[in-house]
Amino acid sequence: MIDNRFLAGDRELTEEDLRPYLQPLGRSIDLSPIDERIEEIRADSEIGAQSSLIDAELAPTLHRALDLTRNEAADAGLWHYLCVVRFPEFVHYRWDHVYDPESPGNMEEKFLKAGTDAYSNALHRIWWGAELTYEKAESGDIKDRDYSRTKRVLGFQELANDILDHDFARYIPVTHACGDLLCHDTLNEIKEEGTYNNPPSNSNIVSRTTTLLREELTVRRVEMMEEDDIVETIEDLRDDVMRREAGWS
Amino acid sequence: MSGQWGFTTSRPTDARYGDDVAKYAMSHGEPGLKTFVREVLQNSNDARLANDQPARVTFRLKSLQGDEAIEYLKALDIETWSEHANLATDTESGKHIAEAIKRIKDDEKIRILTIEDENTEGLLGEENADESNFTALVRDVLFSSKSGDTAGGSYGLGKAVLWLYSGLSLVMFNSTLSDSDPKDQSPRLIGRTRLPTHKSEDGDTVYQGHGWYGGLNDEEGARPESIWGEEAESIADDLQLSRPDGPGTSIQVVDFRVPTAEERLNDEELADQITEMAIEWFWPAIYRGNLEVAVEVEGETKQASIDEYPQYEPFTNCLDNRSNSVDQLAEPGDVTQAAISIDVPEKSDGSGGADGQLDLVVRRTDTGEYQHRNEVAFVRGAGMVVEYYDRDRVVVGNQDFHAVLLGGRARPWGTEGCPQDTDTIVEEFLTAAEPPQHDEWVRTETLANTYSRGFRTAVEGIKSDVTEALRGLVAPDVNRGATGPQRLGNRFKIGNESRGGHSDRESPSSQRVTGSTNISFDEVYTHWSFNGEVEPLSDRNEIRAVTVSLVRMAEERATSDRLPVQNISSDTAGVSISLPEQKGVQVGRLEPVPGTSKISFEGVSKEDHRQVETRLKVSVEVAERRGD
Repeated sequence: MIDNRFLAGDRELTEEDLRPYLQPLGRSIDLSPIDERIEEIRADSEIGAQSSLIDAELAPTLHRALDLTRNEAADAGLWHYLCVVRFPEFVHYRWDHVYDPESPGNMEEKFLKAGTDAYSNALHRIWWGAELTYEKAESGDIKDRDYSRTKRVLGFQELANDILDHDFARYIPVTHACGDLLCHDTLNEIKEEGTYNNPPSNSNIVSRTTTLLREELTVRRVEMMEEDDIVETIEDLRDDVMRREAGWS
Repeated sequence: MSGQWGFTTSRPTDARYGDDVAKYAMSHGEPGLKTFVREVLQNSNDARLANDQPARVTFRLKSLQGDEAIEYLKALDIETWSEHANLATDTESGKHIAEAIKRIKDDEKIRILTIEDENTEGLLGEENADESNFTALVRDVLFSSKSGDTAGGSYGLGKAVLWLYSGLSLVMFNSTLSDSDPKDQSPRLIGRTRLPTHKSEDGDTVYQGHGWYGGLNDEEGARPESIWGEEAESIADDLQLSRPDGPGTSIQVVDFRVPTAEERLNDEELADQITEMAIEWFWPAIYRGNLEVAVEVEGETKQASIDEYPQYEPFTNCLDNRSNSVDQLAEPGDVTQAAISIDVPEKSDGSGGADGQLDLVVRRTDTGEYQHRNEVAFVRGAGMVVEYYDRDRVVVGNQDFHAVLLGGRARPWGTEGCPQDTDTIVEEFLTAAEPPQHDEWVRTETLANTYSRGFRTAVEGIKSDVTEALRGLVAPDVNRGATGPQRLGNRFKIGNESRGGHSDRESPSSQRVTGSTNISFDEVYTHWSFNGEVEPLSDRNEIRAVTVSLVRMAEERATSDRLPVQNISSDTAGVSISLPEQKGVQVGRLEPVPGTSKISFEGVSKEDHRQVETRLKVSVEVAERRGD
């Protein structure tokens, strides 16, 4: 059913079309806050279509509204429904630039995928980006949660991709440290201090540092590391990268 | 009455031996106690009489001291022997023997190991027969009289361990024959030493190195021959080599030692090790009641019993419970089985050839069963474990197992069935696939000389088929739903198939070559050392080039990072070596001369201070063999 016409946005699939394949979640969720937030984002002249800022701006609302357990969130069907039936326009608005009728796979995975792949599905990706980076509120209240790190990560496409696509993202202390140590704000601050001559671009720093971290984790078990140790390891690797001494290949 | 030593002379122009070639071949690899125990028990196991009784083997360890030692050495005619041994000290092995003589004389102490077997054939055969137990075990080098199809050994190399484990390279035999000899009465006694080639003191006579202890006859230059009957019995008494009445052979290894041991173990420790190794490698024969092994130290005998080594019970359990096997390994202790097909090609003479089968019996491990866990014991009719094949990596989801692969005449073990003709053909094929140490099933020269095309695929496919079958049997029982798990499966492919399972995505070389690679980190030089060997799967192909690169791994998959290769070498003749760059990183490249099939290499990486997981990537270009 998900053919090129659908992926190109020329055809819609309704709940009626998909009725035989739908299963109830077992509780009802109010999706109207998400609709409203998408409206606001599309109306915001500072956020262009296809910008990664869309993800950053939608994330807090989406994550608060879809108050799922991780178990529920791992059910790919839920995300297929949301993308294909409920929010297809949003998916097109955010990702149309990846559609290529010759190789439709890239667009297809924005509607489908999900499950254990936190990287691909347009909404699942945002939800997990938030889940892995937000700070719980002391009050325990959903509305008091702090999503500032989430916004920094999802607003920086390279950083979001490098975190969501890899195994270490399943361990919160690492995603938090990456979000804090490798975001634009931190990197720009270090660059302004002038410690490093001619440092690489922020995207290159993130890509290279996370690669080195993944290599490092072939011999160290991240769950056994103290949080300070995790921070120090990432800082050291990042500094090597900024000095351009980290085995660029 | 005693025997005497006599040494075979040779002409000055004849080949000289610095050491015994068969001994050298056996010492290659692992000359620990394992080789000795395996070979000795295999000899007795093969010579078992065709009756319902087991072959009984007793290892008797004894250290003789003071007068007892002096008496013993006298009976051994050690004076004559030492004269020769001391003339052979210009070679490495001769020096070691001279050192051993000195040690024994200084300490007035000597350790002897006697291996006494019963219900075996004994040293049948005339003194100069072309093919007999006697000539095979005592006289010949690299000849085997074993029937070849079912015997454990087939090279005639195994017996060389006897001399290898004697500090004096000296072994005595006393045998009661199962068929009475027409001329002479049992027992039959003879000794044999293997010294390096040496010259007499005056330099006029060259001795080839082979010496015999026995009765001298009148013929000049002839070697001493076996001593028989009462005379043999009397000498055997003096040599502490008397044996019970029943047929069998007692073998005495004089100055028993483990060639590679760092320090001489005491008798108790040696005895324990021998007992455990007997169980480890011969539990099938012992379990089947075909073999009994005991070890005797200072008059105390200890029977090697599987009950005392419960770590081998999971394997015997496989056979015990085979008839109650289940479809799925749901509970610890459950046993299941699978058939592995083996396509034995015809022999070069057109005989044999069969669509054979090996049976894989798998038991789910119970708690506390740690040893040999996730290993498959390879066994054929001889009842010896050829190899424990470690398949730890196959285990997913905590379904640990112990398994037995039964081949040849062992295939129906644990069922009520009998071996079929096909099983005998497979048995013969597997025997030919064992190298001299009989410790794996691989492509051997014997296979190549005996079988026609296809033997290679048959023997080399065994391990991968076993792995494949194990995957099916021990993989967790997942309720496979519709499309979801399939899509998931494509992303988390386990095994060698290419992701997505499209055969056209597989690199052609992965199907066309075979070989092995090895990489490890060298802490001293802070670099990676690697080596490998590759060859095309088909004889029709040859290798054109091999490129070796070092790939950095990440948690979930390989990265595009490479560690530079510092240098690479090959001992394959005529290979040209270069270190070109690929994507800016140095790799190793080997280009062999036309017609090269197998190519081996070793090398090291540049210094690596990060020491994170690094793997060897070997890309092989193969093409159809060019005309010779």
